[in-house]
Amino acid sequence: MDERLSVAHWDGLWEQRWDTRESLYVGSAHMGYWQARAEDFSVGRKACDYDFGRKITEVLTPFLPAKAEVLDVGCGPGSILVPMGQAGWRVTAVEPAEEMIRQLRANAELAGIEDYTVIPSIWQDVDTESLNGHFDLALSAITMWMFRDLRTQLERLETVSRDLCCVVGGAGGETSGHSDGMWSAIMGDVPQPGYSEFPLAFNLLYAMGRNPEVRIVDYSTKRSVESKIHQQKLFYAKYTQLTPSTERMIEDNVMASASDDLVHENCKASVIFWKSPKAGVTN
Amino acid sequence: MRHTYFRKTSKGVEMNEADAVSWQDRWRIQMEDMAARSDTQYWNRRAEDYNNFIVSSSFEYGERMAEILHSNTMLGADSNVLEIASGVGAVTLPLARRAARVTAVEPAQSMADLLEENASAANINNVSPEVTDFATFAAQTQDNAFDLAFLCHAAWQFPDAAWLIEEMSRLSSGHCCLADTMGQGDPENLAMQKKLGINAPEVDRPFYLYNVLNELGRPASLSNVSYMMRRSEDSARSMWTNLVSKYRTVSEQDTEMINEHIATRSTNGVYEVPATMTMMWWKA
Ligand SMILES: C[S@@+](CC[C@H](N)C(=O)[O-])C[C@H]1O[C@@H](n2cnc3c(N)ncnc32)[C@H](O)[C@@H]1O
Repeated sequence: MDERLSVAHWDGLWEQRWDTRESLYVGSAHMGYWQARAEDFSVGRKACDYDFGRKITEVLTPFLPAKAEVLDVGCGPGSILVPMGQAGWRVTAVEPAEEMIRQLRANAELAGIEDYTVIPSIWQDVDTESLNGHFDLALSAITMWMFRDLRTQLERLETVSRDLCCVVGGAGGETSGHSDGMWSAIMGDVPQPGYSEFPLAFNLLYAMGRNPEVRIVDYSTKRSVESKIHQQKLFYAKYTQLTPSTERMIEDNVMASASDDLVHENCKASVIFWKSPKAGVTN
Repeated sequence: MRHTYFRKTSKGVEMNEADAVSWQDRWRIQMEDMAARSDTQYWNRRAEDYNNFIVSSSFEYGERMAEILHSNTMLGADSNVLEIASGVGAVTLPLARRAARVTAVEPAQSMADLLEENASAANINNVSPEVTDFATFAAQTQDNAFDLAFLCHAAWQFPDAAWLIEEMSRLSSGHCCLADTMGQGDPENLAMQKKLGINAPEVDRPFYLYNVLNELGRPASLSNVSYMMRRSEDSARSMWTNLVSKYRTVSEQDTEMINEHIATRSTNGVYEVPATMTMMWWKA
């Protein structure tokens, strides 16, 4: 049998990629990173009227009841909670970074969304048994890459869903969002670590015997030069001690890509969704 | 331990395994054999029973696929569609009902004849059959000549999947879509294969094609279409008998088993098996 049809193959590849990336970190890469990123991340996700979350909501709408109960793991600043709340769905958000929660609350208030719950905790600590089959949709966007045990975490999504599960990842290659040549300019020959959930999560799910569907969505973001520079510096500070000259390189690169003091980006995301085995009949 | 390295491609840096055989090569290895066994002559022989399956199934999967293409705005009343390997029209006719024109490239004359018959029986007159193979057709056709390029249930004829995908992308200015059978049918179908001692589950071609697309920097949307495969009992008998004869001479005992199986799965002379087709589409 082709090894690529086996769960162990994809599990192993995922773990290995995770280990490679972790071994490269020299700066704040975990919770401190997200605390520091909260504000700029929020700006990026709110851009173009929550285009990112809205596109995901549009993909899933035909498959869900009108008043769906949703779990959003690693919800960040409400990227998806806001458009889903506006669609009339009730979202429970799992988010450990207080700064992200602060952004989320402000964004929800501004959008007039009151009916939602925040679980202020890391996902690994959430007791899935007590939420068994509780949601119509258990979703996680651009967050699964942080977990070493992807398979376990996918199965935990399945535990809490009575119908659909969904993982959103980038769709612009392994280094989705950071393939503008800056990596080699700053890091030299150090190989750039991958982090996209796509297509690895799809392949793992297939090997697990699920029948995942995928929609590739295009979305736009727009943010100030300052906010983009902030993001880029934090990203590279995970992997290296920034010097005045590398900082300068980052600034120049961002400014070169800006117009009217704004950085516009057209991005691709993959929306992978499948029936929880609990749902009985798969499609 | 497996080593991971990162390879620079035109699309950026991609992860790969040190011993990696590319998806394109994996596809080629698996399909070359299959392509050799189902050449144009083979399909000329199979045309009749295949047609029975499509017509008895009331073009069900074709309808469902055309509907998905339509509701995802890849197909509309103005669309100029290219269909590669159209066969007897399983998807051609449903596409034609929703499009301005369908150019149907089909190298097997008897398939093309049945397509024309089926089209005229359905009062469809916007299908243009081209009785030629796709490579010949593509070589004579300019870029962006179509709005949608589509191929269903024939990708194994193209061991060079990258060539197929890039040619489809070149010929379409809008979207491209590949579709193929996914899964091994239901447990009952699998049990029957086991009973006959046939241990050759087909590869899930969509899984490989999907990864080839990604390898080419063309991440695709993917949707599963479930439908009921219907055919006459005779057509089902010929299907199972053909399958066994690929491996050994069909014995009396085999025939008995096949007849018994067909009887339990048929109603009013029609044999039914649930099946799935997977569609994968991308922007050209
Ligand atoms: C890239 S952001 C994604 C936010 C949002 N889902 C989106 O796509 O816009 C990742 C989020 O995951 C959160 N996070 C980090 N570790 C987590 C964990 N163990 N459990 C749940 N969330 C976590 C971070 O604080 C951050 O808000």
